[in-house]
Amino acid sequence: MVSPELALSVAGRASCASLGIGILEQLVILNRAFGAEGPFSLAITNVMGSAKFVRNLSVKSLRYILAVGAIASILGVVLGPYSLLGRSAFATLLVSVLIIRIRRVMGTDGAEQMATLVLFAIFIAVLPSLSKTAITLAVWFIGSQSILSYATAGIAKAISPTWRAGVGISLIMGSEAHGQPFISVVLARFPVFAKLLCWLVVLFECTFPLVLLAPEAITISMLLIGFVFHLGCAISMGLNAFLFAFPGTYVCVAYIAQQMSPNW
Amino acid sequence: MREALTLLLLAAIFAASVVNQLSIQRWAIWVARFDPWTFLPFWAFFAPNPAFADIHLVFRDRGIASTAWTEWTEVQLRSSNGWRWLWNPSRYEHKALHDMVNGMAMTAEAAKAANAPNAVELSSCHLGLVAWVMASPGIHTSQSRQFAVVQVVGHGRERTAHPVFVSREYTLG
Repeated sequence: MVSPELALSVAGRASCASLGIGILEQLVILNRAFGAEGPFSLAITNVMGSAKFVRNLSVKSLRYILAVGAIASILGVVLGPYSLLGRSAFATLLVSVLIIRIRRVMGTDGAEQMATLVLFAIFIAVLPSLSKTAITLAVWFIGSQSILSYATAGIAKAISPTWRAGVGISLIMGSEAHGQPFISVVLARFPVFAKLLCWLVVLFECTFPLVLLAPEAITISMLLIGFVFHLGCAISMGLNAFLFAFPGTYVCVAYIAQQMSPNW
Repeated sequence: MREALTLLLLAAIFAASVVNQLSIQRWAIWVARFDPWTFLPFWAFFAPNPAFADIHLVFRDRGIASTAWTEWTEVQLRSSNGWRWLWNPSRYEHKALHDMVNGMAMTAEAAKAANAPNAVELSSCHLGLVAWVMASPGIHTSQSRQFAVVQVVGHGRERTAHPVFVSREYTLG
């Protein structure tokens, strides 16, 4: 049996890992990307809509905020969201991430969005004090967002002529940013395989919400397939943060399935 | 009381998230006023149109005493390596460029429909690209600069490139 406390702890620690990697990556590129010649320079982000309270944050200030965020993310992974220090770490990480995102304006992705939502849900569930009801509500929220994400992604692909024609993955693999030359060549050589792969992704994403009705074994299998899917996306497309942010929500999904499915 | 507020807040955010997936333009414009940083998620990854092209930002300069342009120079972005499945710092710069170019493309579509030819040049995404390009170092005698957005598709010998946007000339300094 999955408890809401376990589900929230796993989601929280995974989100800390996902955001922590992102923070460390931004620390590495800080001088260049956030400096005068980079895409996140003050000149550009002010034009793109960063809020007034972050407009004058220098690169030095950002370094401190990112460093604090990095330490908080490590503490969050190690301690989880229930101890006093752990709760402080989660709150600190959330504030760091919010400031950096508002300052950066661009460059966010689905993993950062999901991990930030998880942190926010945990923030209101464990602060100022622990509340079992609030924790349970947070688990429902996170699990529901996870299911919504796969359903949306699946439906968007199912109605797309590109994905229905079976060339979605081939096209992505043909790019430098998200592709792999080797995989691109294989898919070009075996178009039937490419088409099958497309349809398997669409099928997986569209049927993901059925975990709410499925027997336990099928739900667990779907979640394992999801992990393999995200591992594949990380290896082939460089979507490293997704590997932690989305599978991290799966215990919340399992908790919801446990509550809702007549077949568990 | 706390539990009731928590339920209300999370339910409201989830409901808003559901509506956000429906791509309703009026809703998107309204939400953007309160959430320009996209904390409210949109989960349609790589669909309906998967990102298949790489975007490159290039510029060329013209000197004070010359009417001849320099060769096109690319604004260099960090490249990724074999560890990108775990460590991928290059994703931020590439995503920023994609965000600005996609934003400009959406503005161009809306401008065409509204018969507003200046809308693209006045858009924040275009101005952001101008600021980025103009901050890039060039030769010290450059007086003006022009940039272009180039779309590249494929790998190795299959690679093709074509410009999707060419700016007007901007004065440096």
